[in-house]
Amino acid sequence: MSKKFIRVVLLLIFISLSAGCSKPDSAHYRYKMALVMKAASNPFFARMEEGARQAADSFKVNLLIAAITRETDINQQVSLIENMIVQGVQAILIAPADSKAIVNALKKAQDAGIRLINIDNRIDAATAAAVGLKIDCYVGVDNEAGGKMAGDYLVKLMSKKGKAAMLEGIRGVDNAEARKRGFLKALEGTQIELAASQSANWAQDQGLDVFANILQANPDISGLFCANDMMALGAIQAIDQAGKSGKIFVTSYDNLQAARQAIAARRLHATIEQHPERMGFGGVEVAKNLLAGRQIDPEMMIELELVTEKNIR
Amino acid sequence: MCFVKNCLQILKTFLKPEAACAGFGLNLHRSIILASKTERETVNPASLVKSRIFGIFLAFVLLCLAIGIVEYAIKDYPVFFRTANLLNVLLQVSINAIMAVGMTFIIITAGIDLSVGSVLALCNVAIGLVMLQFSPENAFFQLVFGLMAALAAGGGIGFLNGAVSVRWQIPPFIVTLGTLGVARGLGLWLIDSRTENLIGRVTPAFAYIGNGSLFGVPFPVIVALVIIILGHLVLTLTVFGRHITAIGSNENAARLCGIRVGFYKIWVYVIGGLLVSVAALIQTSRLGSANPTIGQGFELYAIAAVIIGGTNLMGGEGSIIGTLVGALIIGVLNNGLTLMNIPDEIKQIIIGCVIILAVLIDSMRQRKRE
Repeated sequence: MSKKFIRVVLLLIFISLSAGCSKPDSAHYRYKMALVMKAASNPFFARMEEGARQAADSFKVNLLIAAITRETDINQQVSLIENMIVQGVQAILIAPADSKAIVNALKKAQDAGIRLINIDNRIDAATAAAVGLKIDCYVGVDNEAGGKMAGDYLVKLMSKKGKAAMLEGIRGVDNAEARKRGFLKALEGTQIELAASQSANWAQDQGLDVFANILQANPDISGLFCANDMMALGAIQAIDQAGKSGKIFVTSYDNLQAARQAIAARRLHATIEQHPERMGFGGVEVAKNLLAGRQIDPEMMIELELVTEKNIR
Repeated sequence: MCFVKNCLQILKTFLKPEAACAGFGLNLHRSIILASKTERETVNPASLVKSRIFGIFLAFVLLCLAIGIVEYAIKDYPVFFRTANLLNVLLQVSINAIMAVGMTFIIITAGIDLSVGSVLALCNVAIGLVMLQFSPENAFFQLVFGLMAALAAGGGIGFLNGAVSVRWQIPPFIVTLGTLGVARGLGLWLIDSRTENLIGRVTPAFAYIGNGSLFGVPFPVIVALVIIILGHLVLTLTVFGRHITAIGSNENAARLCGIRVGFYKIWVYVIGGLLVSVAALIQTSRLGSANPTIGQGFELYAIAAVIIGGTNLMGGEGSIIGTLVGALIIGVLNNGLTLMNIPDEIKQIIIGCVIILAVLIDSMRQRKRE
């Protein structure tokens, strides 16, 4: 009975594997490249994938796409890269889960003659240099500029005075720190006092609790910057529950659908759009040009956009 | 069918008057507990647990005083001891406390449930998706089906945890580690990895669950209190409580005494899952959205509350009141350290140290007694 069961399971696994590996007509494509991302469950990377697919269609590229299940699972990402090397891709587009721990795996790919495009989270330059890794191009956004953009808008809403607070992302993560730096820069030269700055680890439930606590200690806060929309969605619930709706301006980062709805309801005041689909598209385009032997810039910066109630779609 | 029969049976067990089974149940299980822990033969387990709770409560009071004094010293506007802030702490603790009651039952049977954080997210998604099937004018349907969705998701995963670990003798650590992934993935898949906004799309009555208050006390706090009192009564006064303690203390002895070990173990996980559903209703109402990423690491907070509260991780003894104090200690630390604007990395260090310290003090006191 159980032996039979095991045989059926093995057969099913075999069928699904062989179905997954069935190759598309490779003669039809000019290039073969891979996009290795962080969690596909995150809408940000879903949009990045969408953009990359579009580019692959229009440039006739055979694009393999792989993502890890947990956003911080660097080990899984390393094995994904190794898989791609074995499959003989000509270029890898990598959105690293960790800007340092990924370099050894990429060096292996480079030694196998694969061109490397870095998307989104930037690979640490010093670590890359230490192992002799050369990234052909970086495609992404300037998080510090984004933090400053959201900060500048908050400063304007607060008329350059009063008390502000910040909900930071996970401490020590590059984009969290860059957004924080940008926001602090925006506060320079104003009369705004930063009364509290705490991490809510990117999470909505923590954003709610942490900002409820901050409001207890500083009931006179009139502005808040959140390093991502999730934390902002929690914080605006804390604001409502404290009976302070409309008294605190909130700006954040990411432009999630739920954040746009909150902006339309005037509970959130601005967020930053990073255009992940342009990163995906741009990454494939750059890789194609590189493989075609054309000259490319070492950096391709995607323009950020401030989303307020005036320009939400 | 079997499930319905089980339901009836457990109801009967709960309703059975204490006296009727005192002769068999009570004395027998006392003796099991004592037999399995021979080194403690002379110590009455009930008083041991009581003195533990007293020690933990003392630690909690000292912690509150310490936070109050430090905050008074470094801030020109101290708020920790204000009523508004204390109610705020209770509100924030209530979700963890509700989940920790279920976790206490589970740990008393020498089990563990690592899936509660993911199940919270799954229930949150289920509530949101089901409620959005109806228009906000249909308040009754939204509330009833939302509640049912939550209970089905929480109870269902709980049943799965219990049934799989009992039927195939797999350690609950492994089964719930599996369902941790299953529930999280299911939640993400059901809602297409998005965050759905519920405000304005569900009946305003739903907002009351998490945000309303009764006589000035937030509603979630009242719910948590009721669950804690019920949980305490079930653990200390009913046959169910005695039987799960006996199981955790020595499973084989309990089985030899005729206790239906598998039956009780499954029910402990179902109750744990249902309590997560209740916590999810409150959390969904508070967040005003269905978000498949919430609850990351909540299992650790629930387990920490139980352990700080003096429940033995090896099973066989524990207390709901202790768990409540454990949850309060974590909540007060989180709140107090944020009020003082202590950075997150330092917060993590302090909370970790307090957990170790609480258990250390407890075990030192115990050694002294022996």
